[in-house]
Amino acid sequence: MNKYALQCLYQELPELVNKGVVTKEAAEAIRRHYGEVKMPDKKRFILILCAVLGSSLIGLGIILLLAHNWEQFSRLTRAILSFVPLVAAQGMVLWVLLKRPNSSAYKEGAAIFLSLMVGASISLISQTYHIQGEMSDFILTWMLLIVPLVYLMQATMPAAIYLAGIASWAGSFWHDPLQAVLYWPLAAVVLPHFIWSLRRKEYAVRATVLAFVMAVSVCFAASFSLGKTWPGSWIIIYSCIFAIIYFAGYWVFNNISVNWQRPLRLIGTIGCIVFAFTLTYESAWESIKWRGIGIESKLLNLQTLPDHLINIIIVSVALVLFYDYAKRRQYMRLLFGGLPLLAVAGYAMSGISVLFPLALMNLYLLGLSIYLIMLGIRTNKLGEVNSGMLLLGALILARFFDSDMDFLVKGLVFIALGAGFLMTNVRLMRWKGGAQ
Amino acid sequence: MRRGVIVGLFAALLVVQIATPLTMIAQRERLLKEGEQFKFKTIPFDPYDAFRGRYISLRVEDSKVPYVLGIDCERDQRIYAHIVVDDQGYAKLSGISKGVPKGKPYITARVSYLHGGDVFIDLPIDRYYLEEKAAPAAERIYRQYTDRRKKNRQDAYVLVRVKDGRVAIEGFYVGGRKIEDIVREESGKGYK
Repeated sequence: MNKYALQCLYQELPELVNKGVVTKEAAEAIRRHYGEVKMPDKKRFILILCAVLGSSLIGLGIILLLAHNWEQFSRLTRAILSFVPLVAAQGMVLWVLLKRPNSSAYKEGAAIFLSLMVGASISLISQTYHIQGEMSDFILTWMLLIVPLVYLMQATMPAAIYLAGIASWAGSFWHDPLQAVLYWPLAAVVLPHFIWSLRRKEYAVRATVLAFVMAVSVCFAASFSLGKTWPGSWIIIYSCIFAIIYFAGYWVFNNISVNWQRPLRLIGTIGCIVFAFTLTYESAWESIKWRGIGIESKLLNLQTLPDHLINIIIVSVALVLFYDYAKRRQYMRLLFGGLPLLAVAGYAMSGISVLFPLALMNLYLLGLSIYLIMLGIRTNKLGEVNSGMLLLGALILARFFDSDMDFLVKGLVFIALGAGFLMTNVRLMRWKGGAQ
Repeated sequence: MRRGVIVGLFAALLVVQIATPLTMIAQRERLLKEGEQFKFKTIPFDPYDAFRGRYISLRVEDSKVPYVLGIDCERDQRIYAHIVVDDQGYAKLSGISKGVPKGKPYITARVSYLHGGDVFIDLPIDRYYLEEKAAPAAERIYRQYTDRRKKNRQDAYVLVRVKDGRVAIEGFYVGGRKIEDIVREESGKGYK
């Protein structure tokens, strides 16, 4: 049960007992059943936030100071200078490990500072010695030098920096998928920490941040590293990735299941809808015929093997999760998470004519929007009604803009949709007793 | 994990974190001391790197060699570029090989692309870092001095040290003078 709701219930219980609504025994039984409510410690959260922000700003400031490239100093002075912030940060981390091993604020703050100082040190040496090489080499060296901090300090923020770093590294290899595909084993390095942090209540907020960064990082890196083996495979890969993120947002993990799920739910839901919407356009399905940059000419060879392997894993995970939710009869979840099945069906049918997948995706979004509206009306939830109506409106408008109808008809459709929106909302608010 | 193990592992990480930049420094210092000196004519412009600051991006003027039959070249393939010095004292590429050449100075590089019977090579001489405000001034100075339309145009070159295929840049020169000195001279008290 939601802990905020539970806290309200506990506050109400004494009054309910006094008024005789529930007996004293029943109130006790309720308390025993749900147990103690642990609200997040705000002071602790603010402390961690300040430590993270403070050390990030100082660290970035030092990087900028060093980027100025102090020409007045000799080569030797600059070489020594490049170690000063690094050694200071290492000393700070060592002190935290020995003296404050249980303070999250100290650990996260010091870990971020050291992570940034490693980058500062390498960049100053690169400047001083005019070390050649791309940004990507620099970032990868930096990320590999900081990732052990995630485990040694049980710190989440270096994991977030690492995920952002390796995603940008993968981005620089957009033309070379064989190199970019290494993103996946690199990302897997922080997965055990993420799962570990989900099990701990004190990591709830940090797990949330990490979940968000991880979801964005994966979506970003997938576009550079996957789907280079056969044209149009991005349709299946992205539908699976968004479905996995969506399903993961509804997992219940050791009873700690609210905070960290929010970014996943948000990115998963929006991702599924926007992606399905993209697939209602003909150009998406036409792309199956194109051969983009980096697409391998041979379907099966050693170079395409990693791509195939990771794609098979992603598709399998999406299907297993779909099966799991189907077994539990959570039909609402299946409506969103079923996108990969439709994408596969659409892909298979696109060979006959693109009209089939287009009709399929349009019908899917139409069904989804009507379902959301109906559900919202049944449960009296304005949010769901409006989401459904927004989706329906967007779908109708998109199709109208596709067509050659004149402005008069298009204008009337706009007005009709707007009026429908207002009327439904007024009607629902009256039901709720909110409107005069 | 026990605290002792964590501290031990952490100490190992600290050593690696320090050893990485230290190795970078040692390698460059050795190159600068022991490497053979060459001058490569260049074509620069001025970009920016968010972490490492401003630099002049360098292109070696003549970074192509004629394609030799029997050497299969692909984009990004690692090769060894052989260096010779011309009559004017500038370094030039004389050929490429897939194995380390014996008795000749060489640079380990990658194939950039093939065009019209030539192999264009991506030499690891692509950037020269300058102080924040000096870089745009240096670029302006470079353009002024090396303008092909001017009669008194002068050469720009990068002075490098080469050893065992590795390269370290010593300085960037326009008209025989170090770019930092020209910038300082032209801007008077400070960079503008």
